Amino acid sequence: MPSAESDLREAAAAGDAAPAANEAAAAANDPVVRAHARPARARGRPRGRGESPAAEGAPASGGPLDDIDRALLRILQADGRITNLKLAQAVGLSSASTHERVKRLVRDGTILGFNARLNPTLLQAGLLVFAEVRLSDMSNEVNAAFKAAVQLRPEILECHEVAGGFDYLLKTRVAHMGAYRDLVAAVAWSLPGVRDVRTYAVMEELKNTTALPLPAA
Amino acid sequence: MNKPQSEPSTVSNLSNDKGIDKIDARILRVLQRDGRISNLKLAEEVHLSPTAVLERVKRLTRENFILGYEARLNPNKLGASMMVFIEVLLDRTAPDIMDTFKAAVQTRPEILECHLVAGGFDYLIKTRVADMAAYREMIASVIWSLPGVRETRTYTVMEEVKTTNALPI
Repeated sequence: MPSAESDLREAAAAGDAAPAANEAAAAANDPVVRAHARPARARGRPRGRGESPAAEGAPASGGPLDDIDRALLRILQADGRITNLKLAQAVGLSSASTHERVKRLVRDGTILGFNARLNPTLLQAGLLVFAEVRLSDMSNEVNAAFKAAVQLRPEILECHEVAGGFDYLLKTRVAHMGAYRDLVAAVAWSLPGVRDVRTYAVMEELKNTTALPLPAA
Repeated sequence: MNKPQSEPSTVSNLSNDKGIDKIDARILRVLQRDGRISNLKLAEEVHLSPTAVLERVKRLTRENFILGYEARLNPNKLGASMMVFIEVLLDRTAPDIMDTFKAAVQTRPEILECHLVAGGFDYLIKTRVADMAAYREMIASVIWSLPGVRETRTYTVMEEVKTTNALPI
């Protein structure tokens, strides 16, 4: 990627620059926008819904996405570091309005952030193991202890409380079975309220994507 | 691993370790968190010159440590707020059934993951849908219609305690 540096700079300008003139103007007219403008730049926080339109001709924030928004999201899910120029060409808009739309999608919380996708097999996380965990008692203390233990371990990528035959489904990535055993010992067996853990090692990942389904434009 | 960074390393001679040094690991950690960080800021975070950082990111990409970059979207705003897991049991694990199954799960974007597992069932599927009706339509048209599916068990997620794609580095 010969243009990586310029891509990065452009991306940084898009994400981090001081609010552009029209955004600032919109914010000045609307206290709700001003209240949300700053938190929206941090990733992963809940955002308000009632923001006003960011740019003319674009749908209101929080309103339904139009075809161009969906096209932008689809492209950004596949290539999070595409330059604004290429993105604009792909959707047939000017780069200014493309830039404005992406900013709006970030501000209204549709885009939560951007991240690199890393290779688990090269990073000692090649073994994918799921675990079903049942607690002996669903008291708040036991649940809280379990949830806290889960947050501490980076090998646990996902933990979901489910309705059905067990209580929690864990998705873990480890180097090998020994590492998985250590993980289970630390997270589950050391806690008093865990009744049993069923382990399902993945032999083949037939499909594995984080891209959300977007309705066809 | 005190590997000179100018020397191109190969995957094979590093396979016993992660094949990366502490600075590489820091770079990867930052990029997992913020894939659109500027090279300049990344350089500041890992205390290297921008040129050296750029070179390292290029190498990590060339050597497939970095597979790509993606926007993380909000399922609650995109009609995909319900997460459902499905366990699938096949009648027998014959190769032809498995091939049919593999092809079928690729056709639907609501199916985010499908894994062949060792244990009490054959496949674990992770789906994101708008609601139970959408889920029912999906499972009926993709899973139940396949020959050889003996049983499916559905687990609706009540709370996502933790969800990340970031690998432990």
